[in-house]
Amino acid sequence: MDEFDAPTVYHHDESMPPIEPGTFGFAVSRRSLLAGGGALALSAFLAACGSSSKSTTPTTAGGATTAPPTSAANAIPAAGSSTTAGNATTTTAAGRVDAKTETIAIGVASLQEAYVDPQWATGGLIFPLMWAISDFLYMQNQEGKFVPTLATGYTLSDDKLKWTFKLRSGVKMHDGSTFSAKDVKTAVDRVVSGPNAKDFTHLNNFKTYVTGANVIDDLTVEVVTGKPFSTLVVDMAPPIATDYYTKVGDAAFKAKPVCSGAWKFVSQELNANVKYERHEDYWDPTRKPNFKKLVYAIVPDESARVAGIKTGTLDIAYGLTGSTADGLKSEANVKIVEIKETGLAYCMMYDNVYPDQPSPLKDVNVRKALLMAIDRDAIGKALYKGFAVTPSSATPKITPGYNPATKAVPFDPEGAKKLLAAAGQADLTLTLNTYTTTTIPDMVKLTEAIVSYWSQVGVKATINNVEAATYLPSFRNKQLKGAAMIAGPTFFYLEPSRLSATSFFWSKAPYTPIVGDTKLDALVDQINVETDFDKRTALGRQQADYLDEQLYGLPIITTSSLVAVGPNVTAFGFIKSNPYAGPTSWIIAK
Amino acid sequence: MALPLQAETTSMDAIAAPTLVPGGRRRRGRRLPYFSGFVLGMFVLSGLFGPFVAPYSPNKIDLANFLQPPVGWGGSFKHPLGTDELGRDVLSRLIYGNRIALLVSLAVVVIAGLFGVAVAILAGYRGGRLDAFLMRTTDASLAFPVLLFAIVWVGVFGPSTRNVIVILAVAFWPSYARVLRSEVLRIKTMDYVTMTRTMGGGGRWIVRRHILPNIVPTLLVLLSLQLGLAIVAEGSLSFLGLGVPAPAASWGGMLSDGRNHLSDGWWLPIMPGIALSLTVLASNMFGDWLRVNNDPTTKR
Amino acid sequence: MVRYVLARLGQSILVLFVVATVVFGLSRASGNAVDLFIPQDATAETKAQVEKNLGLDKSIPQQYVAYLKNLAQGDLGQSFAYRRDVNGLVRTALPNTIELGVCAFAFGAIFGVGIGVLSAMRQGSWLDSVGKGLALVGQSVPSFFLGMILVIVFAVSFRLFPPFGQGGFSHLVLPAITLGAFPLASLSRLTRSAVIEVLRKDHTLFERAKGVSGARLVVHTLRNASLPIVTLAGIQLGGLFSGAVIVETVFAWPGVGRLAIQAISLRDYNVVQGVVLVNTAIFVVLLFLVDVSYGLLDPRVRRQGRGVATAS
Repeated sequence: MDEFDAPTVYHHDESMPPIEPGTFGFAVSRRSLLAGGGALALSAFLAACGSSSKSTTPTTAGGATTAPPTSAANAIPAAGSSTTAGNATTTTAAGRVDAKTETIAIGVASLQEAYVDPQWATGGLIFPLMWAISDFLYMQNQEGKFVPTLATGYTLSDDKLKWTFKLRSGVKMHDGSTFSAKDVKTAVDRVVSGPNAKDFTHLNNFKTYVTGANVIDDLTVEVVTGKPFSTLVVDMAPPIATDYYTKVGDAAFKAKPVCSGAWKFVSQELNANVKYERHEDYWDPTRKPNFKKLVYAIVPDESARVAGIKTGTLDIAYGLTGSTADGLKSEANVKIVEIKETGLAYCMMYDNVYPDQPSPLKDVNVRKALLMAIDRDAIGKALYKGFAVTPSSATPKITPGYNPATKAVPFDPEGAKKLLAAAGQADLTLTLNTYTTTTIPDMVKLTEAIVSYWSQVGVKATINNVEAATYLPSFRNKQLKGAAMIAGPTFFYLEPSRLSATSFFWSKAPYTPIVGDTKLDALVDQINVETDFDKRTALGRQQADYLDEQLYGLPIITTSSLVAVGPNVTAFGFIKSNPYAGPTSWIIAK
Repeated sequence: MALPLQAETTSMDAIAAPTLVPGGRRRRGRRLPYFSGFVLGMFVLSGLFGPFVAPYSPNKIDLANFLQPPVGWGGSFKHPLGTDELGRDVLSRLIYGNRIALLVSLAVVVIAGLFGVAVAILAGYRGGRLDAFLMRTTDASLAFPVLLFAIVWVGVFGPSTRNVIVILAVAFWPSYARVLRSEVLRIKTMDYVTMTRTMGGGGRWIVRRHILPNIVPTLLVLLSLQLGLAIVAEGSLSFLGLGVPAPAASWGGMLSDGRNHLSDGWWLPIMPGIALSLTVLASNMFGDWLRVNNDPTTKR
Repeated sequence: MVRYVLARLGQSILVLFVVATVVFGLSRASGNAVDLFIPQDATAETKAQVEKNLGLDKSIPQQYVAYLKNLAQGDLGQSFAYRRDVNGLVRTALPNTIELGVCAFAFGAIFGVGIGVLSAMRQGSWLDSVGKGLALVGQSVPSFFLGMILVIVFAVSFRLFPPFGQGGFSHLVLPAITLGAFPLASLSRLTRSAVIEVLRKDHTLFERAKGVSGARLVVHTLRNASLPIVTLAGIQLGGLFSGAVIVETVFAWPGVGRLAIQAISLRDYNVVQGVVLVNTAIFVVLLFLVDVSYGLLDPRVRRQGRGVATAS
């Protein structure tokens, strides 16, 4: 692979709400996920560390002193067909009892896998693959918080350049070796300084900070950065089995990785499936799966996934539309799990990215009228069968700084007409660009509904339906006119600056349309350098209020991700607002 | 069907070759094609005048009345064939979809037909190297994987009605070229044409006076069969997201869109499915009828 | 014959060259792939580095020359997205498509010819009507719709076959029927008319008069009617590989069609080019085989030297 080192694929066509290629900044690299949630966790770390950063005692974040909790806050109950999240705690600290069911098959629309190697898995849906095969130093719990996993804590040196991690003892890797500091070092070196380091273009960001790792003792490792790296903890490479890696080499490791996760890699068939078997010596009894085999099956067609769940070919089917889920409710053996608020559809007032060109959309009252004209509740009920809610704000609920006091702009066609007339835009004409995305199901129909509502207040909008692979680059490169639909995966707005930096408002975000609002720019600048979590949240609140006042992006609808769960699964847990098919730690088989 | 694009070619060859149809069939062949004629007539009429009879605009959204069932299944005559998940009237969408189906299929068969006829006459009448070249080109076009071509083409130029027409025309012309060329060859060697030539008739004149009129019957058969194929092919393209893009109401689009509504709105896939299949069926039957009646042996 | 084969070989290479060029041109026209392969917050250096790694920093003519050079050595290049060589990707996916295509074809050919012969032998009977009806319906229903209905009936309701995926024979049944329905329809129609034609010919009447048994008559008739049937069958088989895209999507079948769809949405040029080329090559080979088989089936053609277009 020396002569060829492909970059990360930022792909748009994933089954479950993906990250739009590049549109949301970090899109699909491992970094993206971790950076998103990471900033949150980091703030907590920093708060916890405080002045104690000199101490060599492992510090743990947020009072979480153990592994990710298994109490399934988001799990469906073992019995009954309730579709709401229950509190079923199906495990005990002693571990899980083996299920009768040996294999759980999870159907997804695509996995876009390059390799299952956690350091090489690039592309759309890499999280299920990464989370299955490898544990990280810190991982998310069901609340989305990062908690110590293979690490038990860390300290940061005064110059903020050396991170010392204390590691968990008694962890066995897939090849039977015992996890130790050298496995962390191997993973870091592989990316940073190994002979194949230059292949890892998708980790370029990590490489600009991290210079290497040193083994202090078996259970202590020091990671060195060239400049302060605020999200290192969550960006850390997952440890890989050193002896095996040295023995087989980089290429062979890529094809058959050996790590420490709950699942051992068995086989991968491109565009078909990835198979795992349980890691019998997995260190955490509370998260050790109670079934022996796990299969991710790639089933692109939704009706095929439905047939799969009905026939028992699949145990879990991801990426369903509201109609299908609604239809499945009557199936005795199938439960529908609604992962709420995974996607937010924006109607961007795109013309604002052209500072020098006049446009009716530059008038805030016109923008407000366009939002008032849409009956978003009716859309949620009809088009999404109730698996969607009207967002009260352009800032998702899970973003720090979201203002619960903000009220959704009510449906008021008469008021909209008045506002438009007052702005001299009673017969406004514009183009509404749209595309097909899996983050927001039925995006084009949603667009049609919007245009229909607009026509009722005298606004004539023409739909420009563009192929996704063309749409997103043109969106980014400022090649659209009028208004433009865009899907925002809420999971990636776990940090207030992300909302601006990645969603088109901040003029310093590379490759994004630039609103050029100086007030907003100043605010985002402030957020980006603020390390205190509470202060960031406060600034995030200001940003949220300002965005709702200005309405550069109309928040149209917040959609849920829908998962069908078959009779062989008694409990199904997930990370809040996370649409991905994993981690499987909270799936209990019957 | 596996996108029937080029697949028909040689069965088309059989069209050109006079087929003896035995007794029982002959009588039936003579019978006027009431069913297919009626369906095709409706197809054309509703395609032309649809907007005047459609009860609603195809894109009129009425969220208060989403997923209304058709009459007879609890629906009302307000929406005889029910509504979709946006409350759009299915009947109106079918009628407007008819327009698109008519436009696409006619445009495809006309463009592909014109091109195919031109190639066939050039190749068949001139013969020689030009013939060899044109026929190899036809073979090469046949060898081009059409669906893959469609995927690439739409990847470049985006989905649109125009691109559907382009893709299908590219896929269909070789059939015309091959079938009609053998017709031209046959007619060319007929006594009266040879005679005209010996009497000094010019090439253009012969083509216009003798060849063109004589290939028209075969051409008509081809056209009617390919009309149906074009409609089915548009459906297949829609399924892959390469067809006529929303919000336009195309039958293929409605059909592939409606697949996920089998549980809560079975009429969404079934209605366009019936419209599409019925039209294609009629066009095939009509083509068969034309073939039989076009057959010199049966006319004799 | 040798000269003929050589000439055909030359033509085939020319066809492949033209197709390769067209696809290359179209892929490059489909937009700059780099945008899809870099994170949004990537620096200009990263973008340049990625461009270089993908070989997209060179001019289009340079890329074209490099592409043809590799092609001449049988190297389809590297996939941007999968980070493997395209040869390997195609090699993994192609057998799946061939398996499906051949089974669908076998189904279509056996039942198509069978139904065609039966309806021709029993013209006007109910059997004939059923055959004709089947053929018409097979040509009138889009395959994705047919596939979905088959799944609902035979996989979900009766639990006879798995709804999707690859595995044993039972996994093949529904996709093969779906894909084979169209060839079945057109083959049965063609066979019917071809057999009827032969049946009307004097020598057949003569044989019948001689009291040749029904089965032998069928064999004789089929042999005489085989020319157009083989031609159509060959083209159908080639078309199946391209048409399999839809069935592969409906039945989650990991073939080259899926590969192509994924690749174009990722602007993974080399994969797109590779898949199209391999498909074309298969088709070219099939056409060639069909031509050769004429000679074996029909002595008249053997003497003539070449077939297809002049055969009918």
